[in-house]
Amino acid sequence: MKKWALAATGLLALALGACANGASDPAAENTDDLLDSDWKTIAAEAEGQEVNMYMWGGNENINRYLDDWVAPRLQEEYDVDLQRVPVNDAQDFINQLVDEKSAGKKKGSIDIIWINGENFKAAKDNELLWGDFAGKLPNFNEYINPDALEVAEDFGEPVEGLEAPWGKAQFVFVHDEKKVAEPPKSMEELAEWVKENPGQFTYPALPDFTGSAFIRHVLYETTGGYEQYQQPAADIEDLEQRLAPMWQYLNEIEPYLWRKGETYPESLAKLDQLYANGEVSMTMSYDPALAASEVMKGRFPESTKTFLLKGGTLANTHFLSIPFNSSDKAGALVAINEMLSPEAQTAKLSPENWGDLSALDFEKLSAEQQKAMNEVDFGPATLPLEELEGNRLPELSSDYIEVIEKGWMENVAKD
Amino acid sequence: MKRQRLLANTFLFIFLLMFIVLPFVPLVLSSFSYNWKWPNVLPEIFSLSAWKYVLFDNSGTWQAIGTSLLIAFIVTAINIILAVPAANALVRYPLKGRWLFEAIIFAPIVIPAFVAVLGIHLTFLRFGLTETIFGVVLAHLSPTLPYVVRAAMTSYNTLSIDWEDQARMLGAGPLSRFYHVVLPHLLPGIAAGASLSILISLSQYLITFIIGSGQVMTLPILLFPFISGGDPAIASAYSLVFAGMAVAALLILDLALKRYYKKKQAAASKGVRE
Amino acid sequence: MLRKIKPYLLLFPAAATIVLLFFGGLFDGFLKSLGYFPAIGETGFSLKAYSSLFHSDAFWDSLIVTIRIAAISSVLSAFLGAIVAVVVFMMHEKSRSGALNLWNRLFQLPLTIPHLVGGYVIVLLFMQSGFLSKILAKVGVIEQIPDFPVLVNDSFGWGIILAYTWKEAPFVALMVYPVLERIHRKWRDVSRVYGAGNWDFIREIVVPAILPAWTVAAFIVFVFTFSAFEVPYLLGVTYPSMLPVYSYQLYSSGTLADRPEALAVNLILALLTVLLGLIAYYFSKRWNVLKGWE
Repeated sequence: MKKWALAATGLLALALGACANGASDPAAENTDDLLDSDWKTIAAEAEGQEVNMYMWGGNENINRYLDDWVAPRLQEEYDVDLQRVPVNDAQDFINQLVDEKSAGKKKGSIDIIWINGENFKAAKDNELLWGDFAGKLPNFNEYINPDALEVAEDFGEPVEGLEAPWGKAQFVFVHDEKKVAEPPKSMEELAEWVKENPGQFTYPALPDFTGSAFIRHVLYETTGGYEQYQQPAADIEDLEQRLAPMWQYLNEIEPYLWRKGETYPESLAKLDQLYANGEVSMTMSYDPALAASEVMKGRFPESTKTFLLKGGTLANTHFLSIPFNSSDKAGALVAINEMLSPEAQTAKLSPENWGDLSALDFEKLSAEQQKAMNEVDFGPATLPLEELEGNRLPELSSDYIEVIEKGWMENVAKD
Repeated sequence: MKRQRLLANTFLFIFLLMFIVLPFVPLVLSSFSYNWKWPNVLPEIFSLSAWKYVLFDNSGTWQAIGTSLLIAFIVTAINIILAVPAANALVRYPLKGRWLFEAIIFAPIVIPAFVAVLGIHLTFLRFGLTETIFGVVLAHLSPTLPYVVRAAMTSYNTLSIDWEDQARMLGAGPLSRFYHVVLPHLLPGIAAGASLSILISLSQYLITFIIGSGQVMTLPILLFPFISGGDPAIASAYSLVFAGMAVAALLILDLALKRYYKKKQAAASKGVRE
Repeated sequence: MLRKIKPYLLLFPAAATIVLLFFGGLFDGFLKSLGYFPAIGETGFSLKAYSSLFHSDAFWDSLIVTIRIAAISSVLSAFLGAIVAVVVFMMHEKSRSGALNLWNRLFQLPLTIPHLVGGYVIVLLFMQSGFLSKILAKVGVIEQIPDFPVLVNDSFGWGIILAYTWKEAPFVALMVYPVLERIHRKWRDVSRVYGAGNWDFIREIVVPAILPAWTVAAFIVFVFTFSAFEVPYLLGVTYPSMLPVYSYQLYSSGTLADRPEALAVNLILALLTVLLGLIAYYFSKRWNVLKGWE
C-alpha cells in the first residue's frame, strides 16, 4: 500500500510540475516585446532555438523541400533547428490551438503554421495568432508589396500582418493542343466550343475544390465581374436572382458534357485521369506547373498546354503564421524570413523541388534575382510567370462558396 | 478419396490466395511503382524511390518506429505489473463485489478508448501531459490492460495451489515461489496478453494523435497523411513497414519465449543429471 | 486482517488505473457534454447538447449508417469466418502436415495487420481505378474507369464493410475453431460409422455445435465495428459519417462550442456499446460459449 501511495504522490508531483512548467516561464513573456525589438536582437535570440513547423505532410516533394533545402540552411546560417511536423489536415492544429488557448497553455510547441482561407479565418476569429509580425521580416519589407490585394487579403479576410505570404496558386485550364487548336478565351467561347465538341469537356462535381473554382469563374463572367461579391453574402438581398445566369449557363452546357452531363467526375484526380486517358480534351488545375510535371512524368500527352481566360483566373495565396503561444517566436520569425528569401522562393519555384509560385513581387527583385526565377525550367506546358501574374482574380469568401455548393446540387446536379 | 482431398486442397489454396495474398499484391506492387496507370495490371515503371524516401531520406521513419516500439513496450510492461496481481486476486481469492471489479477492468474492451480520451483530453492538456510520451502511454493503458488481465487469468485458472504449497513446504519464500513456480506457469498466458497489448498499442492512431498532438510521432501518425490522399507509392511502402513492424514485434516476443523455455529445459535436465 | 484485504490490494492498482484514466475520462466527457466547461467560463448544466443532437438529421443519419455498416460487416465476416474455420477443420482432419499449420497461421495474418493498413489495402483493391478495376479492364469486362462501381469513399459504406469483413473474418474463425476441435475425434468417428457424408456431418453436427460461439463472435464484431474510428475515417464519406467519425468531426471543428455535442455523441456511443456488450455477455454465459461445446 505504501508503495502505491508513494507512486501516486510521485505521479501527482510530476503532473503538477509539468503544469507549473506550462503556466509561467519568463521566456514566454519576453516574446511579446519581440515585436518592438530590431531584427538583430531577434536573430540573436533565435540562435539555438528549435522551431516546430506544423503543416500538411502528404506530399513528399514538399516535405523534401523543407527537410533537405530549407532546414539545413537555417541550421547552418542562423543556428535555428527547423522541425517539420506532418499533419493530416490544417484544421487539426487550429483545433489544437483552440484547446491550448482554453486550457491557458502559454508555452506551446507549435511555432509556425501553414494556412490560408477558412483556416486563417478560424484562427483569426479565435485569436489564435500571435500578432502583426509580417512587417518585422526584412524579406517581407524588401520583396513584397503589402498593399497588393493577394497579400492584404486571404479569401476576402484582411490579413493585418498576422501571416506572411509563402506562395501562390492560380487556376489554369489544361488542354491538349492536338484536340483544341484554339483554346477558348472566355466562358462564352468555352460554351461554344463545348457545343461543337460534345463529350469532350466536364468539370469535377462539387464540393471538389477545383470544380467549385471552375464554377466561380462562370459566376464572375456570367453575372458581371467579381467586384460585386467583395461584401458578405448576407448583404446581397437578391443574391439568388443574381446567381441565376450562372445556373442557366451550367445547365445549357450540361447536355454537351462528358457522358451528357448525367454524371460528373467526383474529384479533380478523376478528371485528370479522364484527360490522361484521352477521354476528354481539357482538365483544370490550381497549380500552373502541374500539367508540365505530369507531361514530364509521361502521364499527360506531350501536346499538353495550359491557358487562362481573357478576364483572368482565380488566384490565392498561402501563408505562414505564428501561433499566440509559440515558445520560439524569434526562431519562427527567422525561419519565415528565410523562407521568403529570393533564393528559397526560387528553389521552391523549381518543379524539381516543389513547383509552387513565388510569393514575392517580381518587380521588386533585382535583375539577377529575376533572371534566376525566369531560368527555372517549367517545361513548355506552363505559361510564363508574367502572363500568370497579369491575369489574377481574387477569391470569393467562404460564405459564397457554401451558397454556390448547395445551389449547384439543387440547380444543376439534381436535374 | 484422394481426388476429393486434392479438390479440397485446391479449393483451400485458391481461397487462401484470394483472401490473404491477393490484397497484398497491389500494396507491394504499388510500393515499387512510379506513376502506375490504369488499366495496366502491372506498373509500367518499377522504382525504388518510395522505399528510398521511407527508409533512407530525412523522413523520420526510423525514429517513428523507435517511438512506437518504446511506447508499446512501456505500456506492456506496466500492463503486466498491473495485471498479474489483479488476475491472481480475481481467480484465486474469494472476493466481494467481484462482478464490479470485473466490470471495471473489462469495460474498456467494450467502450472504445477514444471516448474516454476525448473526455480527458483537456484535463491532460492542463496537466501538461499532452505532447509527452508519458501522456500517450497513459492513454494507451486502458484499451490494452483488460486483455492482459484476461490472459493472465486464463493462466492462473490452470495453476494449482498445491504446487505453490509444495514449494512452500520445501521452504521457498514468497518471492522465490513466485519466480520459480508461478511465473513459469503464467508465462505463456502473459506472453499472449503482451502480444495483444503490443499489437493494440502499435496500431493506435486517434488517441496517440489527440494526446501526442504532433509531438509524439509514432508510425501511424507519420503515415496517415500519406494513406489519406498522398502519394500511393509512399503510402504503400509505409503500410508495409507498419504491418511489418507489428508482425516483427510479435515474432520477436514469440522467439524470446521459446528461448526462455529451451533454457529452462536445459537447466532442468542439467539439474537432474547432477 | 491483511489476509482479508490482500486480494483487494492486489486488484487496486489495475482497477485504479482504469477508474482514473478510463472512467475519469468518461466522467470528464459527461460533464462537458452537459455544458459544464470551466475552461470557457461555462459552469451551468443543461441537456442542450443532447436535445440538439436528437433534433439534428446529421445525428440520426449517422446512427443509421453506423448500424447498417456494423450489421452488414458482422454478418459477412461471420459467414466468411465460419467457412474458413470449417474448411480448415475438414482439411485438418485429413492431413496432419506442417503445411496446414502454416496455412492456419496465414489465415491469422489479417488479424495481425493494423486496421489502417487493412483499410489502405481495400483502397488499393477496390477504388474505381484500383487493382480489381485494372484487372477487369484488362480482361475486357469494363471499358472505362467509371464502369467500375464506386466502392471506396461511397455513401453506402461498402469500403468500410469490405475492410472489416477482411479484417474480422479470421477473428470469427479463431473464435469458432476451438469449438470445432472439440468435436474432432469421437463425433466424426461415430458419424462415419453411420455412414454420414461430409455434408451431413457439417449440417447435423458442425453447424449446431458452432452456433453459440459463432453468434457471439459475430456480435463482438458488430460492437467493435460500431465504435471503431480509423477505418471509417479513411474509407467513409464526409456525410453521412459513422458515429465515431461524426463525433470527431464535431470535436475538431475548430470551435469549442461544438464540444458538448461531440462528447454527447461519445456518451451515447458508450451507452450503446455497453448495452450491446451486456447482451453479448448474457448470451455467451447462457450458451456457455467460453467453456466450449462438450
